[in-house]
Amino acid sequence: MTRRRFHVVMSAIAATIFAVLQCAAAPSDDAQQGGNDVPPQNQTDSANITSQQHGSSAEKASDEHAPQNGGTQGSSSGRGASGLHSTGITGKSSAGAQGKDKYAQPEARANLPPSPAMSNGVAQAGEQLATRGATDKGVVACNACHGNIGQGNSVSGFPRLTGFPEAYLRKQLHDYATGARAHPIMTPIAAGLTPEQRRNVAAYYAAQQLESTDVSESRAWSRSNNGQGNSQQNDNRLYTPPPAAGSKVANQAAPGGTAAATIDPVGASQQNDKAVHNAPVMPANPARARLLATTGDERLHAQACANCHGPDGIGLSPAYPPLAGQHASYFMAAMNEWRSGTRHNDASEQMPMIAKSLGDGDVAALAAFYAGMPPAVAR
Amino acid sequence: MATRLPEVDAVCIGVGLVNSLIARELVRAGLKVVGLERGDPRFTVPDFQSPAMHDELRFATRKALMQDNTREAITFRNNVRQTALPIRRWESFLPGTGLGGAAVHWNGQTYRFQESDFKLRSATEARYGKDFLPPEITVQDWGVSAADMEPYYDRFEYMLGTSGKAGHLSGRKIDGGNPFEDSRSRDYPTPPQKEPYGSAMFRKAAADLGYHPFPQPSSNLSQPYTNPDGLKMNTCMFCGFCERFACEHYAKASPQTIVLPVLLSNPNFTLRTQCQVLRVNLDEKKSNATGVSYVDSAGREFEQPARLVIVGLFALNNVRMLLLSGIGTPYDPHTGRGTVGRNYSYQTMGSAQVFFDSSVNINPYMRSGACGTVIADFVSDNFDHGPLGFIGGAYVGEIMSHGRPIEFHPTPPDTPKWGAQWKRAVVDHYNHTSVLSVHGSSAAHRANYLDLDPTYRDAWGLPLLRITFDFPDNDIKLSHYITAKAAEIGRAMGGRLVVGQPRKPPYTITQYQTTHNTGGAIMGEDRGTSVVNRYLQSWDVSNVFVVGASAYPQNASYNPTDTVGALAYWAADAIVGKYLKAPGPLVHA
Repeated sequence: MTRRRFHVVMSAIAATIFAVLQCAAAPSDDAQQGGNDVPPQNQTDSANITSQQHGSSAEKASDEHAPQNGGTQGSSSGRGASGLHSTGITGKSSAGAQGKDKYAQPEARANLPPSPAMSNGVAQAGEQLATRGATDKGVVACNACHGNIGQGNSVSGFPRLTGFPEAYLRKQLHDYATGARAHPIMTPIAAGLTPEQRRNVAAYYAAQQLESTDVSESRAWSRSNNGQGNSQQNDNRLYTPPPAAGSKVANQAAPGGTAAATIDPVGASQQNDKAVHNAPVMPANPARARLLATTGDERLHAQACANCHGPDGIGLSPAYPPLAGQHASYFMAAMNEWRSGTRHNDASEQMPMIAKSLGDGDVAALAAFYAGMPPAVAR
Repeated sequence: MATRLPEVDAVCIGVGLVNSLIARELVRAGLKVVGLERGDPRFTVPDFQSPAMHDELRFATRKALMQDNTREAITFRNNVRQTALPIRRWESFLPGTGLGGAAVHWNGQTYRFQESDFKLRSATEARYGKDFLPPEITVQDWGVSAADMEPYYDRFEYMLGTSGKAGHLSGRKIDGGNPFEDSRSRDYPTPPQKEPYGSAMFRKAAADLGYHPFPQPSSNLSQPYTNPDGLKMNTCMFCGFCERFACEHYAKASPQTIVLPVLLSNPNFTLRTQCQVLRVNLDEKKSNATGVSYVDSAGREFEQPARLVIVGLFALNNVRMLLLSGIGTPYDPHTGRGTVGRNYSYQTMGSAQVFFDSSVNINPYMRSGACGTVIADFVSDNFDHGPLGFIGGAYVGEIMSHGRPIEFHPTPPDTPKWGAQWKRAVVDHYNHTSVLSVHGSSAAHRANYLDLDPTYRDAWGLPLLRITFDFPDNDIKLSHYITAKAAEIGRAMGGRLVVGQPRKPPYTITQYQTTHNTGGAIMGEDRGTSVVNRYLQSWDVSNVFVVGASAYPQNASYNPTDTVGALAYWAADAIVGKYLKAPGPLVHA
């Protein structure tokens, strides 16, 4: 195969896998509209069926995909074994023409020819968007608010994205763009990006990693403050007053709140550096938060967060984001989006029901609880 | 010395599905009701939560939610020439225990029986002649019709929130539903669950062969739902931990999600858990129950007087409770006389494994308890039995409910049972295999029955129940015939290798088949051949109602739970609407 021809083929492959993932990430209402011939019934099935229809191209593409993002827990391939829509593709790749290589050493896999679409292209395009935006479309640089590695900003309520599953980030951008998750800041930005740009920037943040010292600092806090609520003295060093529900911070980040528009992204970006401002906060009621996170509340008809978001809030791609280490201000804003209905991108409707069942105090307690856990990266 | 408690209007033995529903109706009618549950109280929160609930070893292998057979086992034999021995580890079937009973660990498959099931003997004789049924097949009519049961099915399904698609609505047939069902007055309360990929392939293959595939009715819900009692249920998340497990998501209909919160908040209802009922107490003439005797967890014995007794245990335990209490006449297989324990039936399970090549990804772990697609073309009397020489039928479906790592290892028949080759085969086939279920009916046979074991006793010194059962030839023929049809569908699905596995005798208790044990306290119109009348009221002791799958004269092709719930409401209506106004026998025979 000539190099030129290789590039043509790989571009086609990239387009194919992209189509597959887009199909999978599309709102289930779309995916459910099927014909007579084995219609895709949900996200998982649509990916499955589509991957089969596309046959070997999807399978090769996803194998190319794996080495590039394989070390990043957040990538769709990396989490595919337990994920949802990505499994159709990874399952195909592991069992298809490349099946004999499925237990190959990472080095061997890394020797495969790089896919222009999935390696340099994604990395560079994603980084460019993250750092410079897309000025022709009026899209500001992501890192202006989210920080240069996606560490977010606890004061202003910008979420941590670092190491998040690519599929989750891509779905949120898609939903911002379509209005399934209407947000005064993010909807215009996401709508200004092409699907490919959304994919690129999602892949970029999925590949970022928090620095280990920052993680260990959080972990130390978490250990000493293991939800028993008696460790305030030990942790004065790290103590930051939690933003109470309904406080100014929460209101600023709340969807539809006019205050949100007054946030100065540039000002926020001045705080960006490689250090991660996890800003652990004292849980408002750590015992209550732990109960809700791990056990739930029968009276409120609220199941444990851990049922879907995993033990210790590690998340499960693509549907369930990591909660551990997420900024409390963003956590509360997101819960308020569920409660108000501006966010309605959970096909199961579990999250709106749960969010509405919880009171302000419970939401604040959970926000502080998860903010204080070591960020869910590299797991 | 037993402590005698103040009399109540009604006592419910067992607080599982049946008595949760009936007690709700009784307290609604103003009765003071005590519910006695031998197991623990338990609720979605905190008892059913993940990750603890997703412990396959604890719940699926070691059966943590099931009846404690170190204290209360069941003995088993295939025929009267054998000596029955206690079942020390549940395998073939899984009786539940604890608040909510087996409806906590069920799969949520929610089918209505058909008119031809309720009229099995009369319809068979009418269509195929008086001589079609051999004398040893003791199937009989139920004493109720599908039309009698329709409002009660409807009511129960709207409590459950069942997800499905009607195929016969107010006399009109609807494409995509079950065309063989009797007319229903309303569609299902929620639309069908999502269809997994393997089920979609089954649907296409079955339709191409001329069958009528439809989504399996599921009480794991497709969307949020609020039932008529105001209880909210959530969407099933396809977690793959359904049967043998409790649902952490409030998504599987169970007493905990559909009725208990309302019942338990009613001041007229008192729940007592860890209370083992020993017997129903009768007056001297044995024509009236005076209450029940039970032992609590501290070993103290109590007598709970009551004017009405509802026996609502698992089917097998209903029969045992009657035998321990001396209600009715035990069945004698030698003479054919007596009714208690007669017509014990089961379910005749077959399967077809469909092995695909590695390009077909089934993702078996991503399942709900009752998602999937089935056909009813071979159910009940939906096909011509004349040339076949058997009665009954089976539904066939791609309704895999899990792909859990300990239990699910599909391998072709020539694979070694262990070692490197087996491991390789599991890796090769795990994600590329569909299993089609062949869920067959069970014909009552004069040699199959329940009685008290002469040797073995429980922790309270009472005789264990003894099962004498083997598959009638009728059911083996049925299983072979319909499993072959399933294999044909499997080949049409594109299976590279299709392995049909019809049921083979003898019946074994060491392999899981189904928990659909039925009969032994059957309903009917003739007190000479049934234990309870058409309202589930004991023929012998009119203030005792015995409700559950124990009332089935024989078992049908479909899963039994919808009919259990419908019968519970049917009986509750009879109690409230008829019995309370004029206590005494509701049917004079």
